[in-house]
Amino acid sequence: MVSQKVTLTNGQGFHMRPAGVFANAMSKYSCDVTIKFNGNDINGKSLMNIIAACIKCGSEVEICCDGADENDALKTAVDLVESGLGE
Amino acid sequence: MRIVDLMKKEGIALGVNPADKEAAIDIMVDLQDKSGNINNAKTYKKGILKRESEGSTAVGMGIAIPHTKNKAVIQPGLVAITVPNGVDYESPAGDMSTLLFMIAAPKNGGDVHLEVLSRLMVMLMDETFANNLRAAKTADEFLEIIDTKETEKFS
Repeated sequence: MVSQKVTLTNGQGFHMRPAGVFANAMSKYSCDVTIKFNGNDINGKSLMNIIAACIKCGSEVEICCDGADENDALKTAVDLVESGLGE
Repeated sequence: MRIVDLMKKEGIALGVNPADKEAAIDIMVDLQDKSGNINNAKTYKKGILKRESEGSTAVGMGIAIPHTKNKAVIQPGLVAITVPNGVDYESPAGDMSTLLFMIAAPKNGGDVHLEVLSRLMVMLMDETFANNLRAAKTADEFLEIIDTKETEKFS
């Protein structure tokens, strides 16, 4: 398993559109993707799970990828968050 | 902010039958108007359509949650419809939408938007809850189901 901490910088946090961008991108990988936030484990491939977590701008999250393509998945995930989730 | 406090009986229409996505939007915009949440239905609808053009707000499991932060919104509010036959809301998952909520958020409403969306999603992930809403016969019953669930989850 690989993981990295990253801070959300896009204006409105993980609202519906960025959550969709993230979940769709992660669904392309076979590994498990978990977002750790506020003591909760959130399924990074589920739009509904990400929105339910209410992750606001400025929050620090830890992204964990576990599986065959974990390195690629983590890199994509971190790049996405750092680039503002398509906003 | 409680979900149930953002909803009114006048903002709920059960068992409606819109022909397509835009017809569903028209019904919900009208409900926002009747609930007194907006002062310009045209401007508000424009905001909703603009948001949809950037990607459908259908989230899967037969649920769609259109929303916009809009200058026509005078108070935050939530309306809902159930569509027993389903409406094609252009869900990426390919499912027909049968339970739809529309959020009205004031232009300068901060994170209210995100909090309402999140709270609603926490509850809707429970499929029994969503199905109970779909089966509700009256607006009072619909609100009571939400009230009960919200009290159980968040208090």
